Amino acid sequence: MKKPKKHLVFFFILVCIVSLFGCNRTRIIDKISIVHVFGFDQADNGELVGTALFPQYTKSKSSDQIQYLEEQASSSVLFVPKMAAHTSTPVELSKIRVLLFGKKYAEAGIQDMVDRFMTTPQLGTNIHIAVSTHSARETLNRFKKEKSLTLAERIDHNMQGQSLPTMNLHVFLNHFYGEGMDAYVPMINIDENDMVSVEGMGVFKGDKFKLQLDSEQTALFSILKDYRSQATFKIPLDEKDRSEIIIIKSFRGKSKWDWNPKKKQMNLRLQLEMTMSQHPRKYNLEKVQEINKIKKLIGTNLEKGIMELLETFKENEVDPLGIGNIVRSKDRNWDEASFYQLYPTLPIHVDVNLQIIHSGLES
Amino acid sequence: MFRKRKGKQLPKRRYDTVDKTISDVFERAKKSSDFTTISLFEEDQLKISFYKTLIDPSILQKSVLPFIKEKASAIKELTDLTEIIPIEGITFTKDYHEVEKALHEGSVVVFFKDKKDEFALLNISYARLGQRETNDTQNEFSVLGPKIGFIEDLSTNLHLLRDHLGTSDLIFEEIMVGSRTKTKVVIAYLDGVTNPTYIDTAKQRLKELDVDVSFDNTQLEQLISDNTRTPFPLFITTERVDRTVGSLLQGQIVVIGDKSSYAIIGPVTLMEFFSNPEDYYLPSIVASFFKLIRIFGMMFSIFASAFYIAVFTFHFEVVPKDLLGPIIYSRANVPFPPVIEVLFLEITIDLLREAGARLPTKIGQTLGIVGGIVIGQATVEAALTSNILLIIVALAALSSFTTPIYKMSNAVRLLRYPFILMAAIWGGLGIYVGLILLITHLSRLKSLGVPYLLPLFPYRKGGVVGSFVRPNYLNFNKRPWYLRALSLKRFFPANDKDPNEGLDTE
Repeated sequence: MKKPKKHLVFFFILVCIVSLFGCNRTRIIDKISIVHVFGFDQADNGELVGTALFPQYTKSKSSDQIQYLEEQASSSVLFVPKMAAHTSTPVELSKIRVLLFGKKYAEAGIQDMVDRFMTTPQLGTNIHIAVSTHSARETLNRFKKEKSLTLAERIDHNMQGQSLPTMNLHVFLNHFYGEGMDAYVPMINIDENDMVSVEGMGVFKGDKFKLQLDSEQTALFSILKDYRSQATFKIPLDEKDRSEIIIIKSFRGKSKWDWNPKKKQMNLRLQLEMTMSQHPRKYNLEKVQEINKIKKLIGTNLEKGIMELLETFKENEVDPLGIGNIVRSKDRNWDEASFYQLYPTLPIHVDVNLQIIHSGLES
Repeated sequence: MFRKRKGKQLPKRRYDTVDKTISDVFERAKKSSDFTTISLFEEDQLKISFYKTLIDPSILQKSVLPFIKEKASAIKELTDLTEIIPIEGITFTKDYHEVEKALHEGSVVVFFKDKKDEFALLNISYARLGQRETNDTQNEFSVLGPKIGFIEDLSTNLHLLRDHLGTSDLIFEEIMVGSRTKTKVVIAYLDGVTNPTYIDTAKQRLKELDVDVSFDNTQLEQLISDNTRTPFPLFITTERVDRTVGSLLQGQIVVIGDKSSYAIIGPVTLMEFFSNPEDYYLPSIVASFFKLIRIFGMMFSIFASAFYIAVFTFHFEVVPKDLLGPIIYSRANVPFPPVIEVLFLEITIDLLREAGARLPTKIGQTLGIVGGIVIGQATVEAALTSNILLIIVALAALSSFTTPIYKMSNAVRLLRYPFILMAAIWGGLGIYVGLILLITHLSRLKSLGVPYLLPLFPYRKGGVVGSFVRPNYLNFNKRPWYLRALSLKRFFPANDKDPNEGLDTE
């Protein structure tokens, strides 16, 4: 009589599983509104403005049919219910690929919003987070007019093959909540031709947007931060002559930070491998001396640029490179408050070791 | 079935009528129109009885009757027949059971009318009558290798085996199956290689089998299998001679039955169903690739439509962004949830398959066009299914055909449905629950007492790689030890003798 009992138990477990998981609401792929980009702004009365772009694939195979929704609410939780009133199918957040903040809202502080990201498990963390110089509303409207949903792709390829430092929500959250570092994000701009462009990066101080870097500073930042940055640099030797210019492209870069606890000094050794795309004719690269000359020229130029960049960070008291974190890993008695009191005057010694792996050929 | 009867008494009752005397035998046989009795001498002294449907009439006319008539006077005793008739295998018996049996095997019975206690049996059966002449493989094709298959005749099949395996180690043991049909079934094995436990188990199961008829070995396979409540075949049924010989050499037993063109190979493991004799004719890298393709095909066939449902009903997040557009657009007008859609198409495909198997070949081709093109295209245009699903279901059906053994490919075909239902209820979780149940079931199966998942579970060292790829012959000179063959080594590869070595020293 043992066998039927066993079967009963098995059946009971099966019933339990059905009743426990069978209540899961189905989300059939063509019966949902899939948000692709979500933007956040601050309204004049202090409330939040949420904007979202939905592609309407049921009407067209490509993503040229885009539905644009804008809602004002006092809390970000209310966006979805309010938006659902306008859509024919339930709003689903789990396919969001870019979270966009308007600059004004970012400057006012985004702590509550980032906290919400943490408590929204539908959001993946391998998505982009960006700040737009104009309001997020305007930028998304621009996209709707462009009939494209390629913001994520734009940021993606700029991070992989250009000068933008890599960043996604996962890393952002680490920088945002982590001690001894500040978060940074790529910036989205609407340029004078009314085109959306990915340009430079922005740095947060705490939860407030503090500093915006231009393209050249971003390129320098990316070779400090990323191993495989492909930033392009232009070094003009003579302001008047267009041909007196060196153009180099970064190929690999290793930055080694060294904390000297006695002198309270930071040493940065930067090992760079670069390709030279263009150089003035007067340098004959077949001669070793001339190569060394040009290497030194580039090296000092980069060193200068990096020093300036670090000075900017120190002036603004932001630490996107995570220098505080590096010191913390070396110093047992590290304390965030006292370190950042010292930070603006912290001496950082930069040493660039440059190698040119090839020249001339475009890659 | 076998297991169920364990512990029960064998039934005493016989299901066919039992003759008490020899005259009963003849009386009953005479009811049939094909039973003939010829009287030879003037006083009807010597009689010859036979079923004319079973004997070879030309032998009777040329080699039996003339000689008897010629020397009629010389026959005083039945034993004199051995000197008169130039046929081997004349036996004499007094047992009427044997007489009856011999009659059904195609013997002629010679006896004196007034001395009905001794009979001479002359076997002149025409075994090949009604048998097909071609023995190409019908269902298991391969591009390379011999294309000989078994036919529905035991002696031919045994001839094929004996012909391929010229060793006196090859033993045939004959067992009668079927209380009515008395089908001859032969267990073949290699003496000194095959583990006697397998032989004994198979023999015991066949002997204790109580059925009236065994139509085919594919049926017999189920009757002696370890678990009859499983969709998985627990023996390989093959019609290829090379596969059968190969498994004999591996130390497996082969059961061959009369009137069946399929040989049963046992004990087998799950992964053997995905190997094909052609694997051994191709270079091992190529063969391994194709074997992996076959295993992938099996997986794809089971899980493709289930994953379609799971993803499109519950987990749309895993669809890449660029694929969302085409998928949603093609599904936009479909009024059903993905489950109904999938079930509709899967059943359509299975209908086509079943109809294709039943229809005569010439109509079957038309069916392919009607089914594949017209129905497929029309269902999409009528917005009953999406384009993407059509591709997935067609691919799944296609990949289920890659499994070489038909019974296994049917099991794969069936397994799709529980997974489709599981995916419809619980999405991805349902597929994993189903997978766990499936693996549990598989790990409990046995073939002739040998675990079905063998090199994988219970884990046996040195067998896992060989069950997914086809190893190089240099490393493949042993029988798998977990099949417990009596001798492991099969051959000793010679050391590499590169002729260049000799040339270079010049």
